[in-house]
Amino acid sequence: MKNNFLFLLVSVAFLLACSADSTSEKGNSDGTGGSLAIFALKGNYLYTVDATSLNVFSLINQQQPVKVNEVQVGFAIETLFSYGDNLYIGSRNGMFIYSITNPETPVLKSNVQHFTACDPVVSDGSFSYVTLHSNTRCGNNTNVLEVYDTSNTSSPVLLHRRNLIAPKGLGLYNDYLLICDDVIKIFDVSVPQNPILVHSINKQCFDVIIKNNDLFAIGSNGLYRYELNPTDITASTFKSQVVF
Amino acid sequence: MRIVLKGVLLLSCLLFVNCFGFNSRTDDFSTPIRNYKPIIMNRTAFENSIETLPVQAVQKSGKIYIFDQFMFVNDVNLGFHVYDYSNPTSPIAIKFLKIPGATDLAIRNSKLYINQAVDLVTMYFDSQALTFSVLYRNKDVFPQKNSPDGFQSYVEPNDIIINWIPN
Repeated sequence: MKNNFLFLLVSVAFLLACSADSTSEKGNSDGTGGSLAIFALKGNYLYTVDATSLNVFSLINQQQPVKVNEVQVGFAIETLFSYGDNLYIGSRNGMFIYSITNPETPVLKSNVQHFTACDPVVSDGSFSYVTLHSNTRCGNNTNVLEVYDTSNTSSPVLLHRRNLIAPKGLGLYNDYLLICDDVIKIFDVSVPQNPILVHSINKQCFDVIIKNNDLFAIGSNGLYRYELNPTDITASTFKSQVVF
Repeated sequence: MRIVLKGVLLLSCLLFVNCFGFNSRTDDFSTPIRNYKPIIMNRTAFENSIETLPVQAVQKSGKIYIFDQFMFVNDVNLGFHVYDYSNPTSPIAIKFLKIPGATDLAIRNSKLYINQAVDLVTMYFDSQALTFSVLYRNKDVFPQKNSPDGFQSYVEPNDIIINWIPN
């Protein structure tokens, strides 16, 4: 009885200790960025995108990165998202999926094309979510949320597309998708092909970070922190803000 | 598949032409009116431009990044404002890391990887002393910054574009 209790205590201690920053399989403590990020840490590598390329840096010596590859992706590359053994790259004319099963040699699996919009992408591996927003210098008027089935990375399938106001950064939290639009919109995506709005937060942001139950939203006017409620998303609470 | 991709990219380029501001006010295309001008540093000044400064106002908020209880808010092409979020209800601004040309970072085990314009800079963050130090610099691993409306600018060798401002 006493041994069982001790085992339980030690297990809980381990679980709590691991709840800080994301710990990769190699025991690293990595930070967390938002959907507009152009850097991603995975295994012993730092992946970055610039306007045209995907760059691979080896971090076997964490104090001295070594560039080991540069892959031409396209043009107007904007964002990078890492999940599992894949990289999801958002550009102004499409989403690209690269496999990093061989970490130093990213391989293009697929791309989906669209025209003249600016898009971050987030993915849970099976489903990927992309926002496109119109860019006044291009005179386009596309403001859309797209949902893809990307369980087969070689062959993404568009499941859903809808018009929003001016969607930008986005993030996933359990069965929910949070989008920076005219306000922060929270969609239930337990059925990904049919997102349903369940809550909104009246803050203006261009990107979000969701970490455990914390929501951080960054906008031109401030940085906002909310605590998301995992059992009732509508009961999420404001914690603090920094006004710029 | 490759040919189709190239065809689509070519088509995208053509569609993009009217995004690059061939201005109807000029008759010849050799002198387009530019909306932005580049801010340039020579490499020596550029490499010596990183400083840890006291808290200052945010000019133009950019992307955010979290590591432990610290929040980093980019000030576009200027640096990062660092906040201590130990208390969720009371964030405290603690430092400004000035690093001209920076827009993004990633952090692993207190090592910061930052894109300073054309370079990747590796820094160490001492979270007790709240100090930053440069560990390494990968030079010329990224392209020069384009203007917000998609223009490039010729610069001399050893000159680096760290920002673009309205003309």
